[in-house]
Amino acid sequence: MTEGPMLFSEPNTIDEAITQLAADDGAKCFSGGATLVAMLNAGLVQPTRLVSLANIAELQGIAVTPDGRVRIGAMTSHATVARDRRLVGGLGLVREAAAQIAHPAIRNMGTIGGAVAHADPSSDYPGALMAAGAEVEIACPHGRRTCAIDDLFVDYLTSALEPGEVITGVVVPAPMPGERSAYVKFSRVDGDYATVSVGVRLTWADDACAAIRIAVGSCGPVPIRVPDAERSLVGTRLDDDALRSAAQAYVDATDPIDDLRGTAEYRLMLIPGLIERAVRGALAGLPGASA
Amino acid sequence: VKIVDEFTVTAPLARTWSVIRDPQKAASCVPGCRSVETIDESHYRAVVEVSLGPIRTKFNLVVTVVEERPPDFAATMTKGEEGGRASSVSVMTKLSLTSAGPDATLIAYESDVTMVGRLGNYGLGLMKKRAQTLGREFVANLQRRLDAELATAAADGG
Repeated sequence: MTEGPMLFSEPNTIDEAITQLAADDGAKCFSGGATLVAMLNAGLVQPTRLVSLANIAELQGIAVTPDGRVRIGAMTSHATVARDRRLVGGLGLVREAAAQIAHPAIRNMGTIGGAVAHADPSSDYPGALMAAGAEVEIACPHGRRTCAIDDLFVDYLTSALEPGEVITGVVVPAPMPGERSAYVKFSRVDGDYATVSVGVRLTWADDACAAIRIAVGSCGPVPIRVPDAERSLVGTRLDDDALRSAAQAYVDATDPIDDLRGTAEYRLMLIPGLIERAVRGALAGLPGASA
Repeated sequence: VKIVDEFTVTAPLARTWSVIRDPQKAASCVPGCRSVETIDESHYRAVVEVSLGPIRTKFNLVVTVVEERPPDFAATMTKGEEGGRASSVSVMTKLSLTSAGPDATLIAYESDVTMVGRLGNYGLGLMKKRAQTLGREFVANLQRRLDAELATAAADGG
């Protein structure tokens, strides 16, 4: 709602960025700009200032911590994540999700921090990172905090980030032996937002499922996990019956919208098949698994 | 977009009607309503703020009561636009009240929403869900308002 030009700054440190954001109610973080610029062009947002995060070194790059977790800096592009060979096994779904976001030009532009902060439940990262069990690193005016990704998403386009807070990175738990994962996206055409997406990360041990996380995206205000349904799968061989009843619990827990990508009813019909496809995809190639 | 919903409040029909038909009281229950002014018996001006994540806006609305059958039916036409005329909205609403016992009233409504401009382009599916959320907040606010009125009435010996 402002008159006059929009200001732009490129601070070199996270503290400077936070100071600039705190000084101006109408200021917004600018990461890759893949979504923000489109929203600016559509007249949906009118920030008074864009604070670019491009020059802040600590937001760049992917690193493995000594305990095996993978930390993806907030400014890491989708293209970079999609290429990273350390994201395999239990972490492969993060790479698969990144590789399926929109088109190459957008994957070169968009960043993981921006995508997570935007909290769009129909975009690819939120559901995939929930299934992966990621944590989000956040810089605030008074220090640093971390937030489980399940707690970060609050509503459509609404995250638990407070004004003046900036995501600095996403940390994915270390891959364990016997872990597999998959991200399955159903969209009208390649590169579109998902009509429904499913992320799964599971551990297979002693010929049975030892742990599993399933998140369904694009079917409600935030990606949906149903912990009871996940628990019901532990100890099973992830056979058709077990999957079918777990999938039904997901159908019951979601509340999709009608939009041009599909009606709510259509989305609900897609969920069971996509959960099955994701689980089978994750198990593929594991000896003894019923893939 | 059509929005059809119904809900029950714990209050007698007559009192529920009196709150809904009082512009100041009703406006205080509308999420994001910043002001309301009475033009005449059947026309009101209101300012309502709405937000969806980073998208924030303020609508200047004129509400016209096109039909009214006290104490259980009203039809309203709401028209308005954002500052800068980036989007305009018109909403035709039919509201009916049914007594569901001495202390319960069923409120059913049907709204036909037309949105043109930047917000209309953004996605009506999402707007519809947002409207349903706002509807639920309205119900919660209305119930609180009715509870407060009943408590006051009881304290007054009425």
